[in-house]
Amino acid sequence: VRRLFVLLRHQWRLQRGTALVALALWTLAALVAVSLGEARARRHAASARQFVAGDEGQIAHYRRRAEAIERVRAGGSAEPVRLHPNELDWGPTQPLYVAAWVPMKVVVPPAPLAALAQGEAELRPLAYRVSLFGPELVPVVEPAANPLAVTVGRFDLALATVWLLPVLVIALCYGLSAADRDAGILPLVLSQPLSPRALLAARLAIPILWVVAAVGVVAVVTAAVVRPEGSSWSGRLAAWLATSLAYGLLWVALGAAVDGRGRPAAWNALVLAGAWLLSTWVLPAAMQTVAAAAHPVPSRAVWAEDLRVFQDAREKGQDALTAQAKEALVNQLRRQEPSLAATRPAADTLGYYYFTRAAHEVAQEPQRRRLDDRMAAPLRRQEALVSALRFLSPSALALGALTDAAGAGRGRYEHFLAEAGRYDARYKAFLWPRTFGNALIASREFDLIPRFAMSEEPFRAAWGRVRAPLAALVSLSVALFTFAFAAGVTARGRPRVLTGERPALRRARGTLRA
Amino acid sequence: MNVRRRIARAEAVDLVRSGRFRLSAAAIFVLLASGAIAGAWRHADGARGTARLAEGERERWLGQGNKTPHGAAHYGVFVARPARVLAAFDEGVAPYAGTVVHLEPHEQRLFRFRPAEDMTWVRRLGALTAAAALQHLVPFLILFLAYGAVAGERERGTLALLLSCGVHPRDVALGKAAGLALPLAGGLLVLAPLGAYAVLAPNGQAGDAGRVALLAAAYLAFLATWTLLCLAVSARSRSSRAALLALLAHWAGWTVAAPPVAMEVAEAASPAPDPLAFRAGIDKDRYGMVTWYERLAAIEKRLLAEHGKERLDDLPVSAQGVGLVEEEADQDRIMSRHFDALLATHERQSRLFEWAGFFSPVIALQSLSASLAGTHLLDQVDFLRASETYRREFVQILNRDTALNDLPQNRTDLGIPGISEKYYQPGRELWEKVPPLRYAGPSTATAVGRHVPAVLALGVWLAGAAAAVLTLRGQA
Repeated sequence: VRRLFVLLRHQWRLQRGTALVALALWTLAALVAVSLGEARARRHAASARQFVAGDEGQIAHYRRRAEAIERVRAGGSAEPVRLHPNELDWGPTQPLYVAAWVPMKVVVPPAPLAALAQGEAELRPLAYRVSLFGPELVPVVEPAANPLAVTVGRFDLALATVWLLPVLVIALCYGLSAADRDAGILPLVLSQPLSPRALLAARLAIPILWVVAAVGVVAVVTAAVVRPEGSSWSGRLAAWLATSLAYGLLWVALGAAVDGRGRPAAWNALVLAGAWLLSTWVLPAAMQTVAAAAHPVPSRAVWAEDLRVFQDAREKGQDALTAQAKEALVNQLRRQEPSLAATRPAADTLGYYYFTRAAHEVAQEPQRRRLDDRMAAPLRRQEALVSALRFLSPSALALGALTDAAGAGRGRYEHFLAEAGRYDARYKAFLWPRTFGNALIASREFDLIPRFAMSEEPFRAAWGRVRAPLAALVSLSVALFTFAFAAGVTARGRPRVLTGERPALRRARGTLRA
Repeated sequence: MNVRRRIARAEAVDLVRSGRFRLSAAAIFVLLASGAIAGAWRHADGARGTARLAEGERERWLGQGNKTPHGAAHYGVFVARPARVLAAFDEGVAPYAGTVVHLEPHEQRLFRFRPAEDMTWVRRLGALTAAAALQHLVPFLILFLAYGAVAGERERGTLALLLSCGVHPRDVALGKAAGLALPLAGGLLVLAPLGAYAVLAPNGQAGDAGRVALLAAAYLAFLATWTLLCLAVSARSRSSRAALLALLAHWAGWTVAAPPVAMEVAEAASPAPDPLAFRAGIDKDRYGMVTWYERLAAIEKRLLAEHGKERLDDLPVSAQGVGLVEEEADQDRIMSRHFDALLATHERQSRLFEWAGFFSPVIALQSLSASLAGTHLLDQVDFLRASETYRREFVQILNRDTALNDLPQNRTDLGIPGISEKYYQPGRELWEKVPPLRYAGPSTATAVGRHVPAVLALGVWLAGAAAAVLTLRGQA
């Protein structure tokens, strides 16, 4: 133990300069990335509140006009509101007018750990409007970030972890024993009464402790800078830290395994840099290319074209419906939607016309879904293929796990869409009976119109997506450490591997043959 | 000169015979070719879709039958940005900017349907395009081959032998640069079919040949810069290990760290609003506008007074139509205020980012390459502006027609039960008055001219790298 301690102390003296510089760099990068991410997340949260408040202000505006209309209908005066005569027939007391003009939107809330990972936040619409007729959500706030910034990639902690952490680990690991070998002092070190395992353990101690310290830095920086959203953030942060630790240790293990090959330090550095490039860029890019080639998603222009054709055909189809067909559709919708059970408008009213329109759109929904599926199904197959292929690239594994842990991935967005779908059903249950029953909306009912509030995705759902990549990272690290230690043990009986004599002999034989 | 040629030949022969070169070069050139093929496939697919949409939209527009002009305007038009063939080489910002815009009244819009939405999350780590391979992988290959080119000779003791024969260190470095360049140039020929496709493709655009030549020049300048720098570092380093570490740090700094850092700095210097705040700002201005009914009441009063009439039905123009014209003009002003500011901010950020090319030649190359391929942010902004001008024209053609012709004698029944009011519902004759959008895109001169900082930065880097090699003296 004493010898091991001496060795550790010696190793610290050798590597402390590099380790401290690397840790300072990492702390700076983490601080900048988390601060930028937190500023973005705060901005988003504040904008979401501003957006919703603006809409509530507009709802209050229509409510005031509805109150004025009610006063006029009761024989009083509209003052202080100035009404147009047409507003009595087509204004905010008509449910259809309310559906068209009173904005009811669903807004994506910031991810629980949005400060740590940007994920796909800048790719998806940030707010949708619910529609009175079909079940589709209409995007009203498309991403407006500079496409150049999204193309280049946001400097967030997820990318800093995936890109920078391995580079710093490589700087600490590429010369574990190769530096001694290059200097010609490895035989001298091996002449000490030390097992190769102890030697390797001492050599690896500094990089391993460095990774632990780097993850600790992330925890401290996050605690100091981030004000997390929702209740599931602590579990998510734990998953984040575990993934970062496993990913960092994987690169230490790879460094040890490469070093065990007994080649010069420069060769190790090149191989590790190549592995980094392969893992962080080449393999993920190749995965996307293979997935896109295996399951091509049609061009969006074609989809837009097909959607227009479908919508036109749906409209013409509705115009061509016979009275019996309309009645059958209305009855079908009444059976599906309990809130419509008592809604029985006369056939020559506007309410009945919109009832048939909604019923027709709901009946046509499977066809629209099939159209959507022409885009979504190949993408789902691509996702499945990439999920299988990601085990080839530790960086892809880590990025996926970190993004899911932060709640910035597709999984949480789908949870949001599901919540939005449930809200859409509540909205329709409120407005449909009033619209189709030719009823008016009273001004006091404006407060009863359902508002959207998302219940956050539970941590266990995110954990379900994180645990497989985390387990893979841990398993791969263990396998590489085992390989590295096995190489060290073999070296005890065959010191030539570690001393680099074999390559020298091989070169000499090659020269002789030549 | 003779010495340089001999060194170049020896270096090239050595490289070609080397297993590590053959393996790594084969892997990288396969990736390069895959990127080119995948890009060509994506481009061809996208171009087919765009053409089909444009054709279909025109047919639908003309064949939409009789309806109110405002209803027709809300039916709207989808317009798709035509992509140059060179987008197959460098897709630039296109995956994140989108290609299709829906044009309808009251709303200016950004692109919809970003291709990246239809890709998997792993894309965030990078895309396999020919341009990306040339910007990231080929420099790594050069680094791999060049870090020990001079330093290795010194370690083996052969450099002293070479110099003792009277060879100048500069000639050693230049000879080795030429020796590296020859096999690499052979490998880069995998891109020749893509260049030929860009020039000869049936849907190619004017100026594509010139753009191909300029792209080739830009990439050659970049690769020459990197090769010369690698050799200068190798010659000036104490050991091949030191050279390797210095070059790896530069490569990672330039290709991986510099672009996001430069972009963050550009965004901090010229911040853009959050999308929700941007939308909330537009909504706030619109909610603050005079309401439709208030506007209509004022216009009716004004028109009745102007024409000396008592009844709206006696007016020679439609109050509703005039209201639509005026309301749309007000909405356009609001849209201009917000969208002009947003797009100007994006442009400023892009220009600031481009100036970072003086710190990283990869940034300069990326800007120039995307511009020549027609996939730069400024190309997207150009199209958005053109489509917005078109939107305003087409909506106001319909609104003006409503103002002139939405008169009692021209109104017919809507055919919807419960609505007794009659409406003006013109047909194909009016729809034909709205021309299709024609968009040519910026010329080659514009594509280069608006990226002067990038051109200058590449030139400065090349000159600096050449100077670093030409000034080699005894330290080699």
